[in-house]
Amino acid sequence: MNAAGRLGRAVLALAVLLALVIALSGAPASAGGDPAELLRRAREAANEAVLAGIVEVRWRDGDDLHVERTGARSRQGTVVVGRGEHVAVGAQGARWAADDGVATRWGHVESAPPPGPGSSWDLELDDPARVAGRDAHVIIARDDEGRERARFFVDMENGLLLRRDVVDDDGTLERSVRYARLTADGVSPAVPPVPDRGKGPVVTDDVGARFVAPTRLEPGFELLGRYRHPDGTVQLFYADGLFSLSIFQQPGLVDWDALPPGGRRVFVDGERGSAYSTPAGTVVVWELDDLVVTGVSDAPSDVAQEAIAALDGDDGGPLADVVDYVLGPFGWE
Amino acid sequence: MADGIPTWEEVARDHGRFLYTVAYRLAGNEQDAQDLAQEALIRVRKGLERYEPGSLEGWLARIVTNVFLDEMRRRKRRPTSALPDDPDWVVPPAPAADEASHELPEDLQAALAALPEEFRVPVVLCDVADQSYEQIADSLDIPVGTVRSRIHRGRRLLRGALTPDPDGADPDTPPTGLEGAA
Amino acid sequence: MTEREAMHEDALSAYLDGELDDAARADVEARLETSPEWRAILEELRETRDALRALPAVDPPPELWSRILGGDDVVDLAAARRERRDRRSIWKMVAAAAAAAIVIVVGVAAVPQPDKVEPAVATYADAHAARSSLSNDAVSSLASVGIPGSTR
Repeated sequence: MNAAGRLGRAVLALAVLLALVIALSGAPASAGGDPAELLRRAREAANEAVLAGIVEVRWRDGDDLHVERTGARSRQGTVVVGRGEHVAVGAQGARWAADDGVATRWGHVESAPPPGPGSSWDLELDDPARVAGRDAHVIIARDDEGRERARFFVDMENGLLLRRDVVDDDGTLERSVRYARLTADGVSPAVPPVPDRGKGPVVTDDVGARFVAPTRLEPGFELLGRYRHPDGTVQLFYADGLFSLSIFQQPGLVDWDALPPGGRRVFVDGERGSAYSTPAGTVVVWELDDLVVTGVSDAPSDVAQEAIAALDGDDGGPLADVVDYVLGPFGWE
Repeated sequence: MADGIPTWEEVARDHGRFLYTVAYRLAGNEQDAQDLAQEALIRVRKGLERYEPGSLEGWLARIVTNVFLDEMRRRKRRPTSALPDDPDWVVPPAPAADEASHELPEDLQAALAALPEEFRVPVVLCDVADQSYEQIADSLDIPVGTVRSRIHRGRRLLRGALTPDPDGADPDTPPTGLEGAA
Repeated sequence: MTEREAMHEDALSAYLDGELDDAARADVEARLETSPEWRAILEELRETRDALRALPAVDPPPELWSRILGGDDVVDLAAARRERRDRRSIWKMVAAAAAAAIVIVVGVAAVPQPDKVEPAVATYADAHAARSSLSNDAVSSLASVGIPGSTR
């Protein structure tokens, strides 16, 4: 064989070797794929699945960790969560919730699509885990400082969101929603259709001059919908890709004595507020000019409070900067 | 460490493995063990102010046990039985334990996790956390004789030598109606 | 110790764990010499106990400690959090007080007092859950609706 032939063979051998190396190293570090894609699909998976399960919610209120359970099932495109007088039924764009005898119905809701899961948070795939006896991909969400703030567990087989943990800025578990038990093998009890009774909110494009509706609340929340409830309350719905936030506004002043017990005194943008930790998320009630504002969000509580406070438009402005500089690193006490 | 009282970080660093091991043997799975360990560490942080220097690992084992038992009590109040109005949904039965095997189970951890917790907790505290009967009696607020009988039954249950008997007599609980028995 | 206790089988576990006093230990050893059944149970117990003690220590996932301790920097997290919270609220209070002071200096015009309202906190939490379930996983969003309580 002449020199050219030998060279040709060498090149071929090298190419084969290279291709082999690329093929081997090209295998993804974790076989789960793209975390944002997993979460995107998990948004819809329960609507199409056939499942029955027990769902457990844990939420921290001060030093206490509360735990409660409820049931969930899905079949024929309808999802039912809860039982008896505390139940919600959903199918496609409609939702119906009964709470102690009062029923609220959301008709078909048009809104902008939510931001991608990775829009405001850094997502990464962690080692798989098991939830309710099922193998799950684990997705970690980190904030700008690289701290882990949320964990999502997605079923490897059917893409369901099996568990969601939210962690506060100290690393302590703040809230967790998870299946304690799950059957997703095609067996599920019959589900009722979405009832057509109950008054509910309607979509609105213009909230009116009395209310505020910023299109964005930092950090990362985008306005997806505006709704007017039968009693005149305006609800704004925001999402940041992983978490959501609702702002409810009504004219008036807060009747602080009439609020439910257990609220913690907080300061929201310099105003007095009352904060609660509930299974649905952090709830903050405060006054903005002559509006009563209630914020509800499943985001980590510090993020939720920051976004709710951003409703006012300014972050405190130059006066706050001066005060911050004066107090600086010394702190009080 | 000042006055023999460790800082919280020292506890987590030097005894974290011990704490997590006890949590894992009690809980039987990693997710629950992590939750358990995290809750326990929060209580450790709060309790360090009141901690009197003594057996640190004994104190840690006690805290992990309390968190575990609190969780068990919570779960008992919310049985995972079928949803109401859903006669079709049947929870699959636990694997039948018909054949008693006196062999040491291959997966000891799984057998341990399957033990009812009234036996599992004392066994773990004795053989994993290395606690004395008296320390265990203190942690669980039960008599030493009960600790002994539960450890014994727990060990025998692990072999399948006994079936859990809810009416099994503790030596410290005298049978009713027998007075002055020899 | 009564004779009944000494004869109870669980004395074997106590014997194995070194929890018996001298007299009780002697009683058990005497019984072991004459009872093959007790010898068998003791062997079985010893094997079980040894296997349990041989179970390896379990390492927590490294993420657990870094999550709790926040990485390699050793910080008293509770104190840091208190400090952050206090600073935040203090400067906001000062800012509010300063703003209020300006208003007082300028003068307060008579304005009609708006009504006092009681926000329906629990209903709002449900409304948020319902709307959230349209853009997110329905089950985890609606779970709170299925939980009775005063403030959902």
